[in-house]
This record gives sequence, structure tokens and C-alpha cells, in this order.
Amino acid sequence: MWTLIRIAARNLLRHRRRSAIAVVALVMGVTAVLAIRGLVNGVQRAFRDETIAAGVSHLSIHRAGYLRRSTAQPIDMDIPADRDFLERIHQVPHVAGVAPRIAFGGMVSSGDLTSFAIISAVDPVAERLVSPGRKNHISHGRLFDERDGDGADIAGELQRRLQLNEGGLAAVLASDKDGVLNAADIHLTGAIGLPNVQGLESKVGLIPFALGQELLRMPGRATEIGIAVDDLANLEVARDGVAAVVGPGYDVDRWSDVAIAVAEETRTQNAIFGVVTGIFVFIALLGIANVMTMSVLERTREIGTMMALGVRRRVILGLFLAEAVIIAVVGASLGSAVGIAIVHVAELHGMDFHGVGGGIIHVAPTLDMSYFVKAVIICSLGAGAAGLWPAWKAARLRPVEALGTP
Amino acid sequence: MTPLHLLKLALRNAFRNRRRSLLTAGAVLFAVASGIFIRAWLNGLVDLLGRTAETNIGAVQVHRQGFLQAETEPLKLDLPLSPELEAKLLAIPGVLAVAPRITFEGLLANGVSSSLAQVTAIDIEREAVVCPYRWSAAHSQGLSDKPNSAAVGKALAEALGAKPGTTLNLLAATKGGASNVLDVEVDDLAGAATALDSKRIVVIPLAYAQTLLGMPGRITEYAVKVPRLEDARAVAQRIRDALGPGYSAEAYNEIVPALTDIMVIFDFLISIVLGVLLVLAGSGIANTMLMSVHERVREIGTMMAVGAARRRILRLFLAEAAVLGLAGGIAGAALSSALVGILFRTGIPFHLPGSDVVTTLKPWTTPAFVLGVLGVALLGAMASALYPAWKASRLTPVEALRSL
Repeated sequence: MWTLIRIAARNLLRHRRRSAIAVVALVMGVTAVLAIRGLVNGVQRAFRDETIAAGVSHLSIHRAGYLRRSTAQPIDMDIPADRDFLERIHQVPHVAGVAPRIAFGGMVSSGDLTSFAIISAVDPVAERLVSPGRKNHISHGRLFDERDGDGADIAGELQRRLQLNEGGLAAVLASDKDGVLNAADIHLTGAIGLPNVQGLESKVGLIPFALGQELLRMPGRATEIGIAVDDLANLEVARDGVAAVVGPGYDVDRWSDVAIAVAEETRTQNAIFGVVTGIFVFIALLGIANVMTMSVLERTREIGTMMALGVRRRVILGLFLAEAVIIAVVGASLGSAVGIAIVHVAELHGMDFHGVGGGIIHVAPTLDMSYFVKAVIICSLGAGAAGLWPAWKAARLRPVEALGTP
Repeated sequence: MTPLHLLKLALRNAFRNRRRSLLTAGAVLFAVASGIFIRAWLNGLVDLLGRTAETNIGAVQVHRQGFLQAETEPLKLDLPLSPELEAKLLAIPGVLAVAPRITFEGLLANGVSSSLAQVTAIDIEREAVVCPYRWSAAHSQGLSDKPNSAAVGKALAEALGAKPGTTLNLLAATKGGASNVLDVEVDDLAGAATALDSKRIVVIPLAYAQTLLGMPGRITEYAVKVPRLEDARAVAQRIRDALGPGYSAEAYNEIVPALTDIMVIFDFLISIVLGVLLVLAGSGIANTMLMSVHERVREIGTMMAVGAARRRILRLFLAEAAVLGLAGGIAGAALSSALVGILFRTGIPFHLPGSDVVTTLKPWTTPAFVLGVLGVALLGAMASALYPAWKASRLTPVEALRSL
């Protein structure tokens, strides 16, 4: 086996320039593919992390079926959120933080101006851990904290519509479960500016959790419990653990179940990337098939001699296959090394992208070492397939005829 | 040596090793075909996104100046529903038809819970002329003749537990600033082209909205039909010029600037892909030509010995590469153009992320782009062969003849 590889390598070195061009083509292809993959990985990670940190959370507990009706933010689909219940969830392995919330539709009113708003009542202490990205979306002022009993942040657009400023007073109006309209006074601590969000979805507001419970007369209740997991790799384990604690009647939703658009976009990008990679690999492999065809043609007499000396057909087959695979392994290794190096440099520097619809997304492209292995395996298998026909042709030659060719 | 003679020789040389030439030209074919097909696909996707935007907003919209930027009480910036204004619009070249609308925000409620809604009030008959896709994309019948008929986005209807026939309350602020509520009867679950639309969209008859909002004889916008979607910006400009201050006109891609951003991203993506394809196919040609020169060293020596100029040798090998590039390129262009042509006629069912409905993607490409790719394939092939051809032309006759 080792001898076979050594002979194959020596054969490749006989035509250094030709082998080098085949290798260089593969290196460029693999480098390009991995550099793009690294960038796509970075973009996907940035969007995912941003989405999770902005309030989607790694996991969230809802009443069963809540997500299908979440547009209407029904407060009658509520769940327990007492200290004991939250503590039991917190005890589940890999759960790093637990944040109860009430999502409801209401109105914000100031003077004789009123506007509809999509409001979340959140616990500022718990959210700091579970949704650290919220503070990045404060465009003016600050996010209210545990000292502000009636603090609130509403979208800058709503502030302008209601002609309010920071420190201004307003009222939140909402119906409770019985349909009775209640009101609570708030003072504005800051304005929310959501990038990439337009129209109705941008009319958001945040108020303290306790104030929300009081307004909606839901003591000890919430509509959602956001959960932070210590590491995204433990998502499924944590999910199973939480599901076991909360029991039936509740859904434990992953971030990808909540932010369907982000998850679907990721799948689309991966599919496009797969097609483009397939095209690149196919063309690179045609090049290898070409080189191997040439190689067999040139060495017909040599193959005849080997056969005349008693070398087995499958050894000849193996020899030519080994040559194709060596080109692939060398090309893919060098290409992955270059690609991973480029991505690593880009990761250290980071890149700022202007998101569609404004807002800047900081992207750190990323590739782990598994891509090295993947690239080498895919290219080797492909090269083996590309070299199969020329190698089989070589192995089918008849010694007398092969020796008879000029 | 005439160019025709050169071409004949190059062709004959390419045929001497059919399998090798076939593999090399095959790589070019595949690269050219993929490049053209990806471009055609992206063209189709941009069209689809544009059509989706146009479905909901129309190719061009005419508003009172400041309506789109208004932060408080936008309904105060309304327009009269006036035959004079319509006649003035229809006189502008490129304006084929206009349809009056009112757009406003409201709260749609089922008695227990409620949701914010983006409401568009339309004149059913005139809307069908200006925005024909609105209903065909949604696979639905549209509004009925009932005065309080409403089409509600699928996700929104589901969230409120509404089915066709359900009565819901629509709450909105009137033009005067007071709140008003009217009942609407859900007639149709409008499949929306985007997740956002599905969650928020409500369509009601214009007259009912005028009642709800206290705006008799008033509208907030005219949607304009243009001959082709590409003309939208030009027509919007002509409308702005004709109506003067006090009015504004925006093309769909000015209202949704993300569409232009997506085009830039697509162009960037396609140039990277084409670049890598060029390098991969080019390296195949370089290798083939290198082998070709290597095999024919003695032949080159003979040609030189009988007086062929170095230039001629160089040209011969470049012509051979050009033949390979062009043969693969033309075959690839023909194949992908045929495929794109067929798919344009049949259409590809396509599901936009987050959409309720399956739309049709129609890939297309322009002759200019196909010719451009062919040109790149030809020049790329010749550039790849430059080094082998130069090597061949630098051989010394005596050494070349002596080599094995």
C-alpha cells in the first residue's frame, strides 16, 4: 500500500508542471469555497446571536400552541411565573438564566395623542443576562432598570408620534383577561430604535414586569419565559430538561421555532452555497479526469511492461486512483489551509456590514477545523470518482497490445 | 496564413485528442452554463421580489407631500378622490391606470385579543386593473360585494381564530383624531407573499374605510399602473414634475429600498462565482495546452525547421485554446439559454421564506450577458494558453527535433 502511494507520488512528480496546475486549480477552488463558507458562517452567526440576544432567547416556554397565535399576543394563554416555578427551571442543567415576560397589545397615550403599541413587560435584572442585546437597541436615553418602578422605553417613532421626550410622562392602556381596560402611568427612560425593522413591527415598548402584572391583573403569571442556555451546543439537552420540569400543556420552543424567518433564511443560504460548491467541485474534478486520461495515454507502454512483469490489474487500477487522490489530498489540504487562514484573519479583524434597511451588523467570519476534514474527504472521493474511468481503462489494457503501441 | 487556415489547423489539432478536448471543453461548457443559469435565476428572483412588492403597493404611488414621512396623524395629509386629479395623472405618458386607496393602521380584535393591522382600503374594480397580482398571488377570490367584507392575512386570521364568515372589530383613529370601531366580516384568508404581510395585512373596501375614518370623498394615495415594472422610476419622476409641489410620487423600489440593496448583493455574489468558475475552467485549458505543447515538441521543431515563424507557432496554440473555449462556451450558452427559455415559459414554483403562497420564478437572461460570458470564456481560454503557447514559440528548432 505504502509502495503504491510512493510510486504514485513519483509519477506525479514526473510532470511537475501539469500536476502543479491541477493542484493549483483545486487549491483556488477550495480556498474560494471555504472563504465564502466562512463569511456565510459569520453572517449567520451574527444574525442568530443578534436575534437571540434581542429578546428571542435560546429557549422560551409558552402555553401549548401560543406561537401560532402570538401575533395577537393573547394574554389569556398565560403560564405560571411564580418564584418557585422559575427557580425549578433555573435548576435544570445548562440553564444560565430565566426571564419571565408578558407580551401584550396596548396603547400608549400622552395628552390627547394615542398610539397602538406592541408591549413587553420584562424583568430588567433577568433580561440583562437572558437578552443582553436589548440595551444595544436603545437609541436615546437608557434602558430602565430595577430602580425604575414605572420606567419604560418606547420606540423612537412612537415618542415622536406622541410628541414625548425622555423623562416625559405617559400612560399605558390595555385590557385585562376579563376585557376591562386598565391604565398605568409610566415615565420614559429611553427610546428604542430597532434596525432592520419597519412599519408596525417597530412600534414596540418595554415596561417593568411587575408593572405589567399589575396593569393586566396577572399576579404570579406571564405569557412567556425566556431561557438562556450556557452554550448553544447544549440547547437540546437543556430543552429536554426544561420540558421535563414544566410538564405537558406547555411548549418549550427553540430560538429557531420563534425566529422562523432567520432559521429559514439560514437554510436557503446553505442550499445556495451547496449548489455553488457542487458546481465548483464538478469543474475541478473534470480537470483531474483530464490529467488522469493524459497520464494513462502517455504511459500505455509502461503499463504493458508492468503487466508483462506480472503486476496485477487491480494494482494498476490502484496506482492510477492513488495518483488522482494524491492530487486531491494535496490540493484540498493546501486550499483549506489557505481558506482557513484567510477566514481566521478576517475573524480577528471582523467586518462591518450595512444590513438591508439600515443598521450595521458586525460579522466575524468563522470556520472550524472540521471544514478541513470535509474538504479533503469530498475532494478525495470526487477525485477517486473522476479517476475511476481512466484508471479502469488502464487496468483493462492487454499487455501485448499495450507494448505494441509506439 | 489566413485566419481561416489557422482556425482549420487549430480545429484539426483539437480533434487529434478527442477525449482530452472533450473533457476540457466540457469543463468550459459546464462553467458557462452554470454562470448563465445562476444569473438567470437571480434575475428571476429579483423580478419575483419586485412583483411581490408591486403586488402590495403598486408600481408607483402618488401621495400628498409628506404623507410617507408623517409621524403624527398621517390621515390629515390626504388627497381628494377627484376626477380632475385622475385626468391629470392619466395624461402623463406611462400612466396606464390609477386606483384610489386609503392606507392606515388599525387594531383588529376578536373580543378577547387584538392585533395591530396594516389596513389597505381599495376600490375593488379599479384595484384589479392596477394591481392584478394582488389576488392571483394569493390564490384567492378577493373581497365580496358585501360593504364590510375584509381579506385578512392567514397568520393574522389564525392568531385571532378567525375563519371565513367570522366577524371581527376593526378599531382605528379617525382623521379627526377620535377612535372609531366598525365590524368587518372575514371573507377571505389572503395568502401573503411575506411573513410580515401574513401577520399584519387587512384589505377592506374603500367606501367602508371612508366611513370608519370620517373621510368621505378623500383618499390617501393613488396607485399607478405602468407599462413595465422597469419604467416605475421614470414614471414617478414624470408625475413629480407634472404635479409640482404639494404632491409626491414614489416608485415601488424607492418605497422599499431593500430591493436595490439585494440587487447589489446579487451582483457581488455572481461576480465571485463567475470569477472562480473562470479560474477553474481556465486551469483546465492551461493544463491541456501544456500537454499539447509537450506532445508536439518534435512537430514544432519540424515546423520551425521548414521556416514557420515563432509568431505563427504562438498563434497556432492560442487558436487551439480559443477553439476549445469557444466550443465549450457556445455549447454551454446554447444549453443554458434553452433551459432558461423553457423554464421561463413553464415557470418554477418558488416559496419565499416566510410566505404563505407559492409564487412562480421565471428565470431570464439577456443576449448581451450571454455574449459577455462567451467573450470572457474566449479571452480566458486564450489567457490560460498564453504561457504554454509562449513556451512552444521559444523552443529552439534543433533541440526540439532532438527531443523524444
